[in-house]
Amino acid sequence: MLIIALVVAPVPASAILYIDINAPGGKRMPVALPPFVTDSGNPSLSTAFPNAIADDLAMTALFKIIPSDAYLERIVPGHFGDKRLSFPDWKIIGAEAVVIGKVEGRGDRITVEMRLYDSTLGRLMAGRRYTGSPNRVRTMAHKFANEILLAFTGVRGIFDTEIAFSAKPEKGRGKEIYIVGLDGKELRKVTSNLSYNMFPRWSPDGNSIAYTSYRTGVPVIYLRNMDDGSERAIVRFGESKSPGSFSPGGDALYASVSIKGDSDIYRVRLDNASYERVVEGWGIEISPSVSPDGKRMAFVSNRSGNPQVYIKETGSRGDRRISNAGVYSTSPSWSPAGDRIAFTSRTGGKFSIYTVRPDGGDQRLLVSGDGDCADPSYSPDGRYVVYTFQKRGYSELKIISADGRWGKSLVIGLTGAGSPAWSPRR
Amino acid sequence: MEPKDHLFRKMLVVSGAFHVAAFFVGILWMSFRVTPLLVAPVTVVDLIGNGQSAEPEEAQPSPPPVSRARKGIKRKSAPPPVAKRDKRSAAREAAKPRAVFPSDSEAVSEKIRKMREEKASKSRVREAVETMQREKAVRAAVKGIGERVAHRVDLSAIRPPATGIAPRAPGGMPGAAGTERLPPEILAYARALDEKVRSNWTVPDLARKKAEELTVQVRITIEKDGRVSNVRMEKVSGNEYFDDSVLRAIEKASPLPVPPEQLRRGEDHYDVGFRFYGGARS
Repeated sequence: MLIIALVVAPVPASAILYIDINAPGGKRMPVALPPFVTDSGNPSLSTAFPNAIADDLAMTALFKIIPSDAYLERIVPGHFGDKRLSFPDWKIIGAEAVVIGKVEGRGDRITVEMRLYDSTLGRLMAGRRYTGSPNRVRTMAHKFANEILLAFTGVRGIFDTEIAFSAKPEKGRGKEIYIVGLDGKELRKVTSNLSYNMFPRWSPDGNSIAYTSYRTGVPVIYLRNMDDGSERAIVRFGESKSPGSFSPGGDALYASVSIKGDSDIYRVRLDNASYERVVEGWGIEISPSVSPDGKRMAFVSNRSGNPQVYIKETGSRGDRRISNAGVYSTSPSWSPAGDRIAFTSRTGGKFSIYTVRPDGGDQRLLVSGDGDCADPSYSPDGRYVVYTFQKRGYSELKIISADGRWGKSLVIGLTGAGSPAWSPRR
Repeated sequence: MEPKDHLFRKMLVVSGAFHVAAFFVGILWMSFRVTPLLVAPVTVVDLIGNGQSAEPEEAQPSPPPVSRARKGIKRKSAPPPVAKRDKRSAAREAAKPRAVFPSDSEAVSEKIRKMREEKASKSRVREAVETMQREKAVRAAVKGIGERVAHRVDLSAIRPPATGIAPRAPGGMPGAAGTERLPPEILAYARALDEKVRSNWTVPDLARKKAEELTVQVRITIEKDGRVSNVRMEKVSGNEYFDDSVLRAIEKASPLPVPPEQLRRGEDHYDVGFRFYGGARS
């Protein structure tokens, strides 16, 4: 409801009218993304960049892209020199922001210059030049989309983050580790050994992935350097094992390892592979997820008779059960702000995803479907959750906003997709 | 020599066989090894903020035309965010209105930037002090009057229902003493202004942290042709993204509905204020 306040002076000429306006909620900012200027022999790049940026911005539900047939001004190379944009031409079609770009190709390296203008106030808000190989177009576009979000909201985007997960390959057997971009593009295989490779977990710097592989016949947790592909074994002891999460400093890995059928949680140092048991019990203790401040750990235990999520505080005895959704709760994932924990729980014969405060209060259903929704992992900005959807062997990788209002399928047509892990910011 | 030579040849054959075998084992082993996933690095050069690279590794020499462009941008570029915020908070502490006279959209941003930078020479300081004193006197007078006979009018009854916007608690205005029935021409004009500015205001939800604490008070001068000739930020919110959204709304809404003759009362312009709220007020 809007109010008009009137300060009336005895002399009418000095009366000042104040009109009160409340911020309109959910209104999208109109953005123009004209084709990029290209001087290279690859004209497809002129739309590849704007399209990738448009995909990213659409995901935020904060922007809307003005259709290109409405544009009145054509972007030319001069706009990257002395020529100014004709801001009234953009203002008149309703654009509040204009993104222009110029691509120059030199062999297998391209350089792209991108600029973001506030067309209403007529000023440059961000400008970046990226150099990379032509097959990294989307990565460069994602990086600039991050800048656009930052310029208008003060919050840096996560568009260049990726998601690691395991799935059954189309051909062959076993399970391999895959990585996919946040836009569902650039899906690629990380492992290719026809064995079982599972539970990928990102190191806090995003440069490495820990995962369990059966490629030598017995399960071993490897740490893989994502830059050069080198690997080393970090957990060999025990029988079945799976990495849970890294310590916030990245110097240790929390993993569940079973010894003589008793699964407990261990902290393994990455420099010398020495380990200590941090959670033990007569039952099964698995799926450790360390809080962002490193002071607490969520894990799954069947000490009450069936699997439930518990919290352990460092230096305190006794653990606190926080899941109360169904008779079978598992795979906790801590939000980056440390204020919520997402987990999977079985209710009504199927798995759904819930979130709960670390003290066990305010439990809420985040997502459920006509199949199983499982294995949540928070985005590094805490605004989204990635999870798997499974129905009779068919599976998908899906994303939902943390408030549950928006969602999409990231990768469809998978078989046996499991344990997705969202990378940290780059 | 003969048997030795024979032995040597035999050893050569055995060694050869071993090498061939080792080669194939090696190939087999390699094929089982994981193919390395190599990621070509992407180099980044920031064109604002002195062209500093966000990822400084592999700084590329810039070609001449682009470096010229960069210089051009630098001239126009906004100050670094931290400094900007400092100045903004300084401006807030001063809490004195500052006038900007836009001629076109370029000028608005230029003036706003100047207002933000506000590191003026002595003459500018003197000028600013004079302006501030003038404003202060005017404001004191207005405030005094306002306290005596301030009125608040709820337009909701005569305004068409706002679709999609949940009704919110009306804001309390300091010194608000009562309501008064406004002359219909003022009501109609206020409604037109409200609609024009509101429909042009877009503020991303993400930029509205602590939304209920965000308030911007702006006073504008509307020329008789509807053009906005003067935008004065009387109160900033402290959130530069929110403040910018308000300035964009006014700029985008300009030209505004032409102020009626009765309101201008012989003047060739009309002054009106807006208060923009980030969220529900109590």
